Amino acid sequence: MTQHAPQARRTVYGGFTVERTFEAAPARVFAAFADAALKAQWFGVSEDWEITEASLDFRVGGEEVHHGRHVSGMLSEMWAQYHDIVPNERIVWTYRMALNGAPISVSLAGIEPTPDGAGTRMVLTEQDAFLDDFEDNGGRQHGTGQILDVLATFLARSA
Amino acid sequence: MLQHSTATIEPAPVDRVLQALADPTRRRMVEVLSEGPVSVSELAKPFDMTLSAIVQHLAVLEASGVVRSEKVGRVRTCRLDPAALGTAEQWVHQRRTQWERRFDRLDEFLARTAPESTRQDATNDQRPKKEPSP
Repeated sequence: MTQHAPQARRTVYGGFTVERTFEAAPARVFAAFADAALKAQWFGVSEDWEITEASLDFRVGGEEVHHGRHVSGMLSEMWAQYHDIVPNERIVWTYRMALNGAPISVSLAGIEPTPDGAGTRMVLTEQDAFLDDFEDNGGRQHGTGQILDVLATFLARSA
Repeated sequence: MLQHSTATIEPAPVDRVLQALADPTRRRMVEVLSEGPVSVSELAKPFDMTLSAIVQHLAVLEASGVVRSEKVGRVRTCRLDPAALGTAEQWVHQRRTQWERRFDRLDEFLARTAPESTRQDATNDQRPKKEPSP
């Protein structure tokens, strides 16, 4: 059970899109989201994270859980629910996240794969409510971890 | 579009942050500070190095904006600066970065599991060939 720490309330709303082209047909890209066994092979897979719990019930109203522990000891928890599914064309879901037990964000997200030659052009759109605890109860650790991730990528690229 | 080319990221302040965090001792210091503010001497404790070396590392972290310190009486207390690591823009950026990272892995996964006919490099793939259907 997650719990807010007693402190000043602060909510920040934001959103973004990420576009990407994959060299795979929309059906394969879609399946990578829809099939738990396939999703487990890329979503959340990282050397720095140990997945502690993962389940996916991919249907409208179905829920997904993805919990993991960072090498630093930080616990990240995600709960999602699927709201709209059009095979190969669209997935819309909501999810909330907690770090070390403190709620940090509530999000609405969707992907829309479209054929692009032999491949797939995909747009992910996400809108977030970042909660007070995002910064104060783990956000800094989270931010630090992210910056270290960025650093690792930066160093790998410039190696 | 893709936020992927190195040319479009890393403006000066990010450079400073990356440089500050490029050193393992300074990364460890940031990890210590992520638990909460501590005095310089407490910060130095886990490290097998002189206080002056720690102070020099601290100066680099402060110059990057990642760490702030203030002196109260005889004690200098250091803390992470939420402004450097926790602005709304950064939160959004972090979330976007997380997705880009996931999509990098998805891209690799799709390449690894590509059907024989479309795969360019089929030499090291031991997975069963299948085209997952929705």
